[in-house]
Amino acid sequence: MINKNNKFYKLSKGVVTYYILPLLLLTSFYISIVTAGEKTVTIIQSQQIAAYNEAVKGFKEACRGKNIAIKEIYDLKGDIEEGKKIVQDIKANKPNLILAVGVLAATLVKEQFPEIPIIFCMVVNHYRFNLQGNNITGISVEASVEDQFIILRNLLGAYKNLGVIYDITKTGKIISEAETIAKTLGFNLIKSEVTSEKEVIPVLENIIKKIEALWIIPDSTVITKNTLEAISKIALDHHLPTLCTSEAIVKTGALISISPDYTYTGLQAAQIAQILLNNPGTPSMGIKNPEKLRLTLNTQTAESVGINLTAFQSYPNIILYP
Amino acid sequence: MVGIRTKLILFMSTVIVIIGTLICVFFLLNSKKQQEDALRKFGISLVMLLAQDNEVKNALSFTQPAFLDAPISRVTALDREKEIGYLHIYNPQSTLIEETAPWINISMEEILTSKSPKMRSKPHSALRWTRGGGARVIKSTQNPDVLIEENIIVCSGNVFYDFTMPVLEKPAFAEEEFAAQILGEDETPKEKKQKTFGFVQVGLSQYKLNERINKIIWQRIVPMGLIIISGGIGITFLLSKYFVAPLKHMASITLDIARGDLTRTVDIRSDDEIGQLSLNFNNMTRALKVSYDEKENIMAQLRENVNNLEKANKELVNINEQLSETQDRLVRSEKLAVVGKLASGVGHELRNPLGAIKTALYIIRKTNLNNNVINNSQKSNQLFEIIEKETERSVKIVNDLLGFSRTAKPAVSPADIKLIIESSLSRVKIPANIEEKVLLEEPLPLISVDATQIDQVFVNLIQNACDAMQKGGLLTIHARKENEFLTVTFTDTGCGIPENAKNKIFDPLFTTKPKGMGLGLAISINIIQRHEGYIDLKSKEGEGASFIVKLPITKT
Repeated sequence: MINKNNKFYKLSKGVVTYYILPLLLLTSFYISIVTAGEKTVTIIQSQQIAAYNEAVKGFKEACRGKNIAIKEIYDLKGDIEEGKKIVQDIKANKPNLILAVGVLAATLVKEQFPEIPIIFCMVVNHYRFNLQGNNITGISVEASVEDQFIILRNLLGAYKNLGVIYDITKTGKIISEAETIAKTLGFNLIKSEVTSEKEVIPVLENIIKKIEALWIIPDSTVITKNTLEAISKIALDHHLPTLCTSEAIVKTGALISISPDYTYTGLQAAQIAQILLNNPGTPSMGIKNPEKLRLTLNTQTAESVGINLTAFQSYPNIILYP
Repeated sequence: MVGIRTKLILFMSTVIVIIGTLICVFFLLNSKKQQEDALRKFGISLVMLLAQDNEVKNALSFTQPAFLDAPISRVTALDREKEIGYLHIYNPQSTLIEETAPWINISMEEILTSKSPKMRSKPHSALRWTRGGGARVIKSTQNPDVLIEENIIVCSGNVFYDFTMPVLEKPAFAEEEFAAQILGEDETPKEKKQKTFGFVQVGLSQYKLNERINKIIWQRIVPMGLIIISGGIGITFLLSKYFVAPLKHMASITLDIARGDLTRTVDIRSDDEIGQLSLNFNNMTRALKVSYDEKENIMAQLRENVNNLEKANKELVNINEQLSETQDRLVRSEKLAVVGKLASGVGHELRNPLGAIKTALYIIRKTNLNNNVINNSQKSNQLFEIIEKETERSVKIVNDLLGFSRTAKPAVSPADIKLIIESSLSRVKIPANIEEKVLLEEPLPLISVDATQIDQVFVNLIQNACDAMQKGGLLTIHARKENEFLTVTFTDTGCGIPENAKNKIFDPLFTTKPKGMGLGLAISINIIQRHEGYIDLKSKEGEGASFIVKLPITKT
């Protein structure tokens, strides 16, 4: 029988507790690192804009200490020719995962690297570009339509007639999805098709008296340099609340935008990257919705439309502009 | 008369010709527009191809015309129809290339005078003369999205579709621009100014376009127009025949009906207006026939009534004539009775005195003769002769009056008319200047008459004829058998009987002679009527007279 008061027993217990076990733990830890190896990630971003940079920053921060090494960060500068050179570099380096930030980067890597897991983010209207494949996982840059409508209803009350202008070739899918959701949530979606930016303002003037709120979707036919300010001005003139997915549009006079927290999108991408890197052979995880949203409110527009802001100030992740 | 079918064909042909012409004009204009649009698209494609070609950009960027060889070869290879009239690539510093097609007889200088950088900033569709004066820009459009300027240049009779496009620095990726706008931040550049390297100018000749349009006109539009017009007229011809035939058929039937054949019907069975018209027409014909039959019945009844009336009228006229005749006879009989009574009275009263005068005169004459008184008084003898003559005449008148009043019922017996005529002629002293002619048409049957009375009648008529022919003439006595009567006509060539005396000639005491009593013809007609015969008179004043005596022939 072992005497627990024996010195040797005590010494042995101390050695085991304070030296051997940590040593074993450290050994096993380092063995696992050596066995697995450090995973490398290459980041390609389409151009240098703040939103992309925020996402990249979030990703980098989230990867820190996660055995993920960010090998290169490429900037396509908005030029596809630039991408051709970069592709050669990436092919030579063979990273374990590629993070594509922006549509140009995403479409480029999708075509060039079918064997390497790809995560894309910050792609506006991603479904237009067929960004699908076994090696492709993505994070949408738009809040889901349902989230947008729920927030609109919760914040602004029951606006029955919700107007929207769209180009069916670009955002027809969003509208068909939105019709079902609108009905479920008690909205009457008044949709107006356009085929060119010239039609946008006349169409808006035509429906402006029939609607109680305007929903601005990211449609490149509808939202252009020429139309954006005019849309916001007409809506303001008629004291219509406007809902959109872009903080930039709120800055031009729209009432509220629901958009992802871009830094958190990077973090979300890093989490997906960890899963994919730690489990080689994992198929595509599909297109994820952004996990963290933020609201941006234009206080001047709110005042013009006649919305009391005190109720919103308690909301988390709310940005008041200006 | 211009038929409805001819009118229809003329009208429809006119309409078809107008429609066919309009269709052809529309097709021509549309084809022309399509060809122009195709040419325009081709021009835009060519100019865009050049303007967006990296080698062109390099050529302009480094002012190196040699770099343009390959792009121009590619563009000219696309120009299979040889429509490129000229090509002009230049940058603000110099002209890199200035080429015209071999078949263009205009210098590039002349064409280029119509184009100047200033023109691009001018309003679209401006009409203006160029500085060179040789070319005129008649149309100008500009596409703000792709910065292509389009012009139509008329230069020395050649028309060019001119396309000019700036060669720009490569643009940013559009979707990334949009993403930057949507996700944009303050540092996002609002609008990047693209650098212009130079301009590409391509001129397409209208010559080939006109050739194609002419080909379309002669190979498509003209045959199409002819087919439309001839087909349309042919169909109108057939359709009009189809539509008008029932009407013609109906018209022929109406003619038959107009001629009175109300049994004709139109046998057209169709569900259209013509079918309805034929149905109504047949109903109308049936109704007309019913009315016509009713009218015919009424007309037949009317005709029968008219015949009855005419018959009744004739009967009335006959009755009236008989009444009139009877009345005349009654009047004459009454008159004769009165005259007879008067004559009888006068005769009786005058006969005896006249007899006494006559006897006394005889005694005086005898006494004077015995006493030779007469020789002594020749004058007295003449006076005695006058008294004796006038007394004889008075006795005769008295005898006539008594004869008239005492006309006895005829004592008839078969008599030979020839003998009666001879007796009568022998009893009348016919003057020498009157020729007598007796015509007897044998056989003359015997007649039952009172020969004495008839003889008296004939004597009266012969005497009257002789009296009428004071200056001589011809007396013709003509006897013949006529049906049931024996007719004896006494014709003279004397003075005739005045028209106003004809009705009174047989009245008693009516005479045209200065010394007549007017009893001869009255006695004669009385005698003949008692024999159931007639006396007719035919006379014309100045041409003589005929008295026709008709006596009934005795029936054996």
